[in-house]
Formats: sequence, C-alpha cells, structure tokens
Amino acid sequence: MSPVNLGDLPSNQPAPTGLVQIKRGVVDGVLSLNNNNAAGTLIHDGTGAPMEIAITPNRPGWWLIRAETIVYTPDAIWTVAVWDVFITPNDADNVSQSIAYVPTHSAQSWQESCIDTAHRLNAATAYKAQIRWLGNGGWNNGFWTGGTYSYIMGEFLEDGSL
Amino acid sequence: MPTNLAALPSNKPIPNGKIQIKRGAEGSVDVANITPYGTKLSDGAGGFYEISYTPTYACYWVVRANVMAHQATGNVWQRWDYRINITPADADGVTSGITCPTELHTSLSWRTFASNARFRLNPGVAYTAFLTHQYSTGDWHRYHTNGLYTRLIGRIVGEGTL
Repeated sequence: MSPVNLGDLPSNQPAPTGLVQIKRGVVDGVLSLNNNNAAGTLIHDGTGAPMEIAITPNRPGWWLIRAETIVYTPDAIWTVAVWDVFITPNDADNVSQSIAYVPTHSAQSWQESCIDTAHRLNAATAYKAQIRWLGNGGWNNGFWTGGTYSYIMGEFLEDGSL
Repeated sequence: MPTNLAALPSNKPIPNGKIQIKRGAEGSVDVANITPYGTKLSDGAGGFYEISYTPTYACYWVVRANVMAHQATGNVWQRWDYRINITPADADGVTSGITCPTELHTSLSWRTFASNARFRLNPGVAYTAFLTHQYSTGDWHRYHTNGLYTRLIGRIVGEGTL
C-alpha cells in the first residue's frame, strides 16, 4: 500500500477520503433455491439483477464490505444455509471469499445473517463483489429479495497516515 | 480532534484512514465454562485473533468481528459469549467493546455471528484489539479459526470536515 503524500495530490480533484457503494434489494419476494441450483448461484434483487457492487480504483486501497440478508427453510429439519461474499478477480492478497453459515428449520421464521470483510485492492483493476448462495446440503432455502432486509455495501479507502 | 489541512505535513498522506484485517488458519478450537474467561481466540496458527495500531493523531477505531461457532457436545441448548476487547483502555476508559451471546445446540450446524465495536484512541499509544472467550453455560463450544469464516477487521477513522 503506497498512498500519495498530501503535497503530491492534484489540487483539481477532491481529497481521496473514500468512495462508497451500496446495492439494496429492489422487489419484495422470495428467491427459492435448492439442489437444482448450482453452488455459487447469485442472489438477485428481485428483478433478476445480481446483488453486487463494483469498483475500479485509481490507486491501491482497501475495500471494506458488509452484506446482510435473511434466509429461511420450508424443511422440518435442521439444515444450514451457506452463502458468501465473493470478489472477482482475487484481491492483492489472493483472497476472494468470505462465508457465512445460517442454521435453519421450518419451525423458525426468517434468520438474519451478516458478512463483514475487507480486501486489499490493486490499482486500475475492475473488481466486483457479489452475494452468492453456496448450498444447504440438498434442502431448500428462501432468500428475501427486497431492500428492507438485503443489501451489500462497500467502502473504498486509501491507506493514509493517522 | 481533527487537524486543519494547512497544518498537515505535505510529505505524508492525508489522514483519511487505515485498515487492518486478521484472517486465521484452518482449524477449530473448543472452549467451555472451565476455560478461563478472557482467553484470547486462537488464529489456528499459534497466534490470536488480534489487530494492533499506534495512531499518530487522535482518532476512532471501528472494529468488526465475524465469528463462526457451533456446539460440540451436550445435546442441549447452551450459551457461549465472545467479546471484542481493547488494551490498553481507550481514551474513554473502555476495554470491552461489545460482548456477544450466542445460542448453540449440537443439532445445529455452524453459525456465523457478527458484531461491531468502536474505540476512541489517543495518539502515540500502541493499542491491540482482540477477541476473547467470555462466558459459557456449559459443555464444549467450538469456534472456527479459518479466515473464510472468522475475521477481525479494524478501520481507523480520523474525524474531519464533511
């Protein structure tokens, strides 16, 4: 990480204090997934558009990401919904994935789950971060697609002196 | 708390942020009510889930944790608490950022828990934020040490004008 010194920053641009992205779900509804869906199926926003954010940084920096969603199962057995935040391409440390597990049972209602992660990004590379479903052992899951309960947000920061 | 722009050194980056992330190695660790409370969570590689920073300026430290755990023994509902801590005490005298109770049962798979804390830091002090095993109602709880599932993330924030 090699941030630019204050004296070398261009005076005709804003100070590089950070960039923020957020993608919220759009249409209320349930995205149903089971073993007919491949591991890595993208969670969408209810319109079919993937829950994803993207950035192509001008300089190296850190991408702080938080994703939140709710999930349930109609199956009367304890199963585990597995989902992740997946970035492509791999970050500067060759890391791409952060995973969450959510035990579910039809006797329960919706369960909330969060992923917090951070990736070190290279300059001039087009990155995207997506929410994906990885499976639940052959059972069924429903993900809520509305923005009240589902989002992915990012904050890009250049390392500075503090 | 913030420093005016003209008073900032031109031969250093602007104080807009610093990020730290700790990802552990593959493995899991069992803890119980016979494990001393305050025991640091292992990173699976001989170290701990901890991050450190010595700020140049007064600032805030936002610390986020994702911890994945399940109940290893007992076949009854048990409670396990983990905590985000800081040492030495921050500028407000705080050492415990947040304590997070989890509800675990051997019938359930792993579950990911998320928590956030923030601390006000003094300049020139070497701080460490770390995760601890903090409470147990009994039997053995198991947390995952792999950074895919368990992470500790810090963001240093310098207050400014926005």
